[in-house]
Amino acid sequence: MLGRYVSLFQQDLKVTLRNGFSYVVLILAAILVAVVDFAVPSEVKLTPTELFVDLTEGRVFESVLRREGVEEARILRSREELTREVEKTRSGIGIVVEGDLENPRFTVIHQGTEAPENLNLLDATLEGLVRVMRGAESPTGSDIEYLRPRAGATPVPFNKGLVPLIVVFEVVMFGFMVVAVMVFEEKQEGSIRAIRVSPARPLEYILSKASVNVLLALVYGALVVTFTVGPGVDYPRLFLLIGAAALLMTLVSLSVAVFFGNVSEFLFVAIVFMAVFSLPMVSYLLPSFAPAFVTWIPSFPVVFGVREILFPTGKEGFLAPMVGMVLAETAVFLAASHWAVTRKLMREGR
Amino acid sequence: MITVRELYHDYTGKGPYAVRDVSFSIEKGEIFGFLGPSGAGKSTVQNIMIRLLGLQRGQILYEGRSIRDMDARFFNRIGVSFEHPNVYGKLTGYENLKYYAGLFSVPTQDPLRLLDAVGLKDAAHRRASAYSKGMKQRLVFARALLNDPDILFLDEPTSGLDPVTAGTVKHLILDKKRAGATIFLTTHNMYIAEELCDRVAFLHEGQIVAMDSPRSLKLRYGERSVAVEYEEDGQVKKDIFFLGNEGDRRSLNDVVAGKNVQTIHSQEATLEQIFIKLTGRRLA
Repeated sequence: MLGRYVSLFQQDLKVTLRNGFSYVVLILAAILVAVVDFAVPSEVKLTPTELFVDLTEGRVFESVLRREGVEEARILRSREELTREVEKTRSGIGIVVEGDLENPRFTVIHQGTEAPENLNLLDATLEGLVRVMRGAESPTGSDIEYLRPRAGATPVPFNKGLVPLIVVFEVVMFGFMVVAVMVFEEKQEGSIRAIRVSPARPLEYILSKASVNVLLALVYGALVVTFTVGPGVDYPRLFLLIGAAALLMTLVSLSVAVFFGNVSEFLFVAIVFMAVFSLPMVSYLLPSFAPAFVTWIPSFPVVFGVREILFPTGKEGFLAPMVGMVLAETAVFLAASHWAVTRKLMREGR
Repeated sequence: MITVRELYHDYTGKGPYAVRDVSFSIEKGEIFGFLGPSGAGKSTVQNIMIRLLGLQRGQILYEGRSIRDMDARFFNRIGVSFEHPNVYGKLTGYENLKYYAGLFSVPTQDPLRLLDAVGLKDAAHRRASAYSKGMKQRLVFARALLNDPDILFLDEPTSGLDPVTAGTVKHLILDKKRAGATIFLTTHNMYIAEELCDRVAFLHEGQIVAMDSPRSLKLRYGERSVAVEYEEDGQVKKDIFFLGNEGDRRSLNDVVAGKNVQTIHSQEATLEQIFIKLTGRRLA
């Protein structure tokens, strides 16, 4: 079995390299590394930009705002000027402060598209600001405790925080398509017929394709991570997780692709699958969006697992159950792809 | 020995049968030709025999053992040369053979020696996508010989080859026969069948309509004839006269007596003529 697997793997690897997939991986990695390192800023303000005008006696708020790091350009001189500036921007929010420190009055001028949650958050922030100005130690009045010690933990820069997404995106999208293209090419040139009348078994065929896919995913992951996050990463754990995910995606793709004759027929189904597998990425960017069905999608634990490996928070024992879950799903799809390859690819007709 | 008994195959499950009640046997070391036009069912029978299609009804026995009982090791014993060249275009000719050889658990032949035998030595390290159709055909033929099979399935092995290369391939087929291999040859080329096959079966609309050695078929179904080329009105004309036919015999006498005859040849019926006589259709 090993000899047949090795022959198929060498063959698949050579065909893949000559198909240019390896160049696509390298170019894609280079582009995304450049985007992360040079195009995306390390800090991005995700909430609207607040503009202030302090109309209190003695403008007592202005000095506090400056102390809190609000830039001069966001502190305006009159209500009219504030309204004009808010209108000019697409996401600006204007805050007019009137009254005095004991009895401040805030007026919020916004575009009308702000979510109530954002306005409530703003309300609480302003309240906290007043509390601090009145001498309170904390803006909320609540004590804060952390689940785990935050030793050495610095906030993850925004651009680096995208790396887990970029790594898992390739595993999902590229992994799903590459193996399908390999199968369709064999169908088109008829070389699959030669495999059918050889002693090669479906399992060897599947594992060979999966190995090539895993190898491509590991090379891509190593390049992207090394040139964005840096070399000080737990690579064995990272490779374990990426490898398991790439293996799973290959098997899912094989289970589906063998039922189609060519890429055009497969494309619509592929888009649906890739869209579903991309849903956890929304959860990654918006953590509050994590309905149960999204957490069952295999890419969900993978993207959060990769983040934990790249930017450890001190969570212990997270990897074993995560890899275990991916491997359990892999076992299911190995059985499914074996059935599909045996029935639909290794035989012709009824 | 290969035995096929009462073979039926229905592609759709709703009928009609693509192959009906096909029975034959092939002795070890025999070249058995399967002749018929496109759509006659030749490939269907071959595909069932090499397990590309499932056995729905009937029996196929290799040395008395049913094909149903064979596992993947069965493929160590057979070689298949497909009609349509199906090779990895991104790999060289040599790589196509090298990696394919790695799939067998029996000793395999040296890929370069095989490529040399089919006239592809100089192109061994060129990508197969750059090969002509004839070169790909030869590569597929060479691949079928890799595991030194004792049963060889050849589907139109000389299709698209020039006469010299076709001659080389025919010699290799006869070499395999001399080495004891059993050969199942599917073709619609009557000359190849006549030249190579010990026995042939005519397949028409999924059924065998005749089966014997080419010579016996000619003796049983053929008619002796004479082909005459003669001058008439300043032009050369050609006619065939069947000696068993009274009218044709009279016409032949008239031509010989009254015309300027240029050539005259007696000839026996071809397999094509016999096929037409039996089925009303041409082979090609």
